[in-house]
Amino acid sequence: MPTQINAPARPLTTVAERFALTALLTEGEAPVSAAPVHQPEAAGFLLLLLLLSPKGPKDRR
Amino acid sequence: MPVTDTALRDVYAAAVERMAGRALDALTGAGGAVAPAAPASTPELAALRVLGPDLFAAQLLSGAPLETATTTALGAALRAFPPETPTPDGTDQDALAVAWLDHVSGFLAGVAVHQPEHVPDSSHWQRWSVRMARLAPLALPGLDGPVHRAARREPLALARGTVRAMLRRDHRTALRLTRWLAWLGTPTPLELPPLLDRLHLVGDGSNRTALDLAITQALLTEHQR
Repeated sequence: MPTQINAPARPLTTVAERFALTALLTEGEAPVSAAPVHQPEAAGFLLLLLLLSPKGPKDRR
Repeated sequence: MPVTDTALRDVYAAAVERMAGRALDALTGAGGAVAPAAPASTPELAALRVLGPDLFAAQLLSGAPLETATTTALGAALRAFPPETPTPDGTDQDALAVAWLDHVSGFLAGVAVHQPEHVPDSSHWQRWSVRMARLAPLALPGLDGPVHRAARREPLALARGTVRAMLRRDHRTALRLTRWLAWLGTPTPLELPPLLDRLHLVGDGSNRTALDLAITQALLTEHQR
């Protein structure tokens, strides 16, 4: 059973200090993800690159 | 809408780093008391509030009695930064997560802090896993309650959240969820040792991450015995 300790009526910290603490306590996911994302609109661009790419070297035999 | 003073937040974040280093030293047997010599400064009090149960990781993992100096310091931190009561219906999920951390911190410090009536909403695994990552300091031996029961009920959601965080390269969230999976102590949908090895390699090098890694490793070792 936790012991009851009487807290002071007014907090000892300012509003800005409490907001700064809350920001650390409610830290969420990393905002920027470097993960590769599927982009359907990029398919046409990839096809164009494939068509424009030079042919592979031929064997001289 | 409240605006956070980023400079002040950075000062507090630096204090959290220092305090996490002391908790890590206590866990690895390299240091003394986690709490600083009294009286603690305001950033130190904030750091004590942020780390909460993690301050006692060394004692909770070894079954030793809690350090009196640290319980006293955490009690002072809870008085300096009084916990806020979440909305009764539990709609503010951020406030609810903080309230659970504060409740358990208060329990360990011997300060009565209101127990929230709700647990984070687990109906959507993606959002729930992010909230559970925030509540990772509760994943320690000797602690049990409604949040822990929710974790036991949803190992698949925790595993999905871990994989999602790994794919997003959000390694901090992934580590915190891996810690929950290690705490479960039961076969999980993910193989944890290789996952932890990977997180060791890609960690951000901060003391807090090192502390989470050490606790997760200790939980895994404990369950493998």
